[in-house]
Amino acid sequence: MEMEIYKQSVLPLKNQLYRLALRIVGREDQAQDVVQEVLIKVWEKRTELKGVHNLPGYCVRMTRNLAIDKTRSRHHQSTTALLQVQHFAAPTPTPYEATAENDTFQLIRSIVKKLPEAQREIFELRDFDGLSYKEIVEKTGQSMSQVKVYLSRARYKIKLELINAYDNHR
Amino acid sequence: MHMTTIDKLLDKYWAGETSLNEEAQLRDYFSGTDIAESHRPFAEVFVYQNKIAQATLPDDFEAEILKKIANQHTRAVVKPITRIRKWLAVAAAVLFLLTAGIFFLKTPSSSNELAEIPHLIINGEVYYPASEEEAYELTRQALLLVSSKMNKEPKASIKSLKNIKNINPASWGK
Repeated sequence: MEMEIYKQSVLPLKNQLYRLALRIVGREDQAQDVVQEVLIKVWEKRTELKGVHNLPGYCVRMTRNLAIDKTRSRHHQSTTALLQVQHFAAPTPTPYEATAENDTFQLIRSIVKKLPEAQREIFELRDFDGLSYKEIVEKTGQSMSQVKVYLSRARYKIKLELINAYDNHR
Repeated sequence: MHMTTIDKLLDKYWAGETSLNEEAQLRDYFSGTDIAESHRPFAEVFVYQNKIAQATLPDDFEAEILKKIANQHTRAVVKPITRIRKWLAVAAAVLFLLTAGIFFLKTPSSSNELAEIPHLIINGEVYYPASEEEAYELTRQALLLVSSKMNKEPKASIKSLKNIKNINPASWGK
């Protein structure tokens, strides 16, 4: 892969990859780190990647994996940090407040994460990527009616969880 | 926007029946300040969708990546061969020469009676060629046999080996 091809076919994916990473890690700085790592890795592996037909698909997979790794290592870090400060008995914020400070959309992200795989995929394609039903059918290979069933099930679950969380918080 | 319109849109949304345009209307409504109390629980999903849809990297992000790549490239070019690697290469060469030397020095001294008469071992059989020409021909056929085995056509070459046997039977075997 030469620099020109890299500039034409890999770099333009950056915002798409960023939105994906942001959905998974929930923090802009960490999502940027993920995208940077992916783009540099793709350049380093350019000779191996000559045979890859679906380069955007490859980049998407790599971004997803790195972003998931990042949330795992962050979870580990925050648990250790939490254990260290616990005995200082400082007034700790409620979970809702804590997430509101660091990560505004933790609630919706955790709800989406809990959805069954097929429902989550279709919900994300529609409500995050803004694809039409026809595009989702093409992308997933599901029938139009199946796509609508999965989407409505996902949205109903989200609705119930949002109501629950709101009632608990009040 | 009229509240009943939003309620209708929300019902359509949960049922998975809204168009992209209607979903955009919902996102607009929830990113505003005038949200009905009964709709508040649902704000997060629409505000989040908006946030994700509008998320873009900083303008200088691409330039940063290209800079990092360029730096990496120059580093790779300048990287010197370390002294240890040079010595490893020398050690490997010495080891090779020693091994080769031992091999060549040992071969003639092995006191095998076969070694005294010029011979070839092909396919497990010992051949004693009468002349240099015959040795050459035997070697050539042996190599052909090997190459044909690699090409999975062994029969032809075994046959040609036997043909040589027929040409000069006196010179074969002990």
